Amino acid sequence: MEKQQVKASLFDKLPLIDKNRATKFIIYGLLIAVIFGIMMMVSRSIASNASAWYDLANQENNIAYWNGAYGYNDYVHNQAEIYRIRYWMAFQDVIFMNIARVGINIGLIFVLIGFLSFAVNEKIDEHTRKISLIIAGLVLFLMMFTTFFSSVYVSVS
Amino acid sequence: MENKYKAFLIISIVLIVAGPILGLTFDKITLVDRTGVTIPEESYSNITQAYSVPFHLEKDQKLIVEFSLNYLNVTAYLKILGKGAYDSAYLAESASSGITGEDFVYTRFAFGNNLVSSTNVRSIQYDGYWYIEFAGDTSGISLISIPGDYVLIVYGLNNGGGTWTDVKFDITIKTNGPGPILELILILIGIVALLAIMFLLTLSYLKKTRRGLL
Repeated sequence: MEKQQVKASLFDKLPLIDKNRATKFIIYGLLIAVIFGIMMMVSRSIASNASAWYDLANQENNIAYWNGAYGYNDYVHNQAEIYRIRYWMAFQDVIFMNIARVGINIGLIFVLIGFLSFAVNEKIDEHTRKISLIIAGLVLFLMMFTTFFSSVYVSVS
Repeated sequence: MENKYKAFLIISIVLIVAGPILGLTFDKITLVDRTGVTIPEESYSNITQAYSVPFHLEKDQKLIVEFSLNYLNVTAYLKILGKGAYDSAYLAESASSGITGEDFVYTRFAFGNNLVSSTNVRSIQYDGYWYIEFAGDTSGISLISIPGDYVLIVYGLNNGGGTWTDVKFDITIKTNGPGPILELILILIGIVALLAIMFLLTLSYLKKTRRGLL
């Protein structure tokens, strides 16, 4: 009777990834999450400061016009441009926050796989494996929680 | 880092820095910048004696004129005519004062004030300065862009009497340049080149150290 060879899929391999590779998964995952997290913070900051920027740009435009740097037509044109940029500064938050959310979740999936791999690795001591499993659970909980309850946030003042 | 990457890196940074500088430099193109232009006072009654500058405007392009005068007894008038109207008046040797020009906006700068008006002729008597913007027509104090060929004319009078017949004035004429587009293109090329270099450097590092990403 011939033996049938079954090719292992990526999902079959996942818990079997070695310690080094699992560490890489966690580092890359954290790195991705941090980069997208920074993107999220910058985007939020730009959006929340849009009106302060608008006031400044408007005043700069007034002063340049009164000083004779350009005429009335350019002044009105600049004013319209300042309005447009202000609205974009507020709206870009919608685009970049969504991209960042997806990016952070992808990063956290890498972290989750890394810790799960630690948890199922028999070469690692029992204590570390238990902690890895708890951390993997926490990461999964965090991902589910932030996905389904987007209005929950932590504020530090 | 290899030399070619270093060179590309420097070029991309130079492009990003040079973009705003060149943008500002070519923001406006000066067509005429003259002081003490002298025309006879017959220019008032005969358009062929008037000072004229033909120009062409594209869509959304505008003409900026700084018209000033600091000479004794002189009254100078500025008008902008369509090329057809100018040619027909020139052939008929019509009086410059009798032709109706196109509308433009004019202003003088005052801190905290908005002194803009629209007209089809602007005069300066003895001393004065006007900043004029023209794009084809106006609606109130807003410019309407009408592409085409136009001619700017200046004519005037000298009320000094006797041999005082010269009309002298200063004029600067500018139009929109390719500055803003140039700035955008240079900055975009610089940023794309910078990103490409970073990507290639990462790839070459991973290849050299024989490390995969995972």
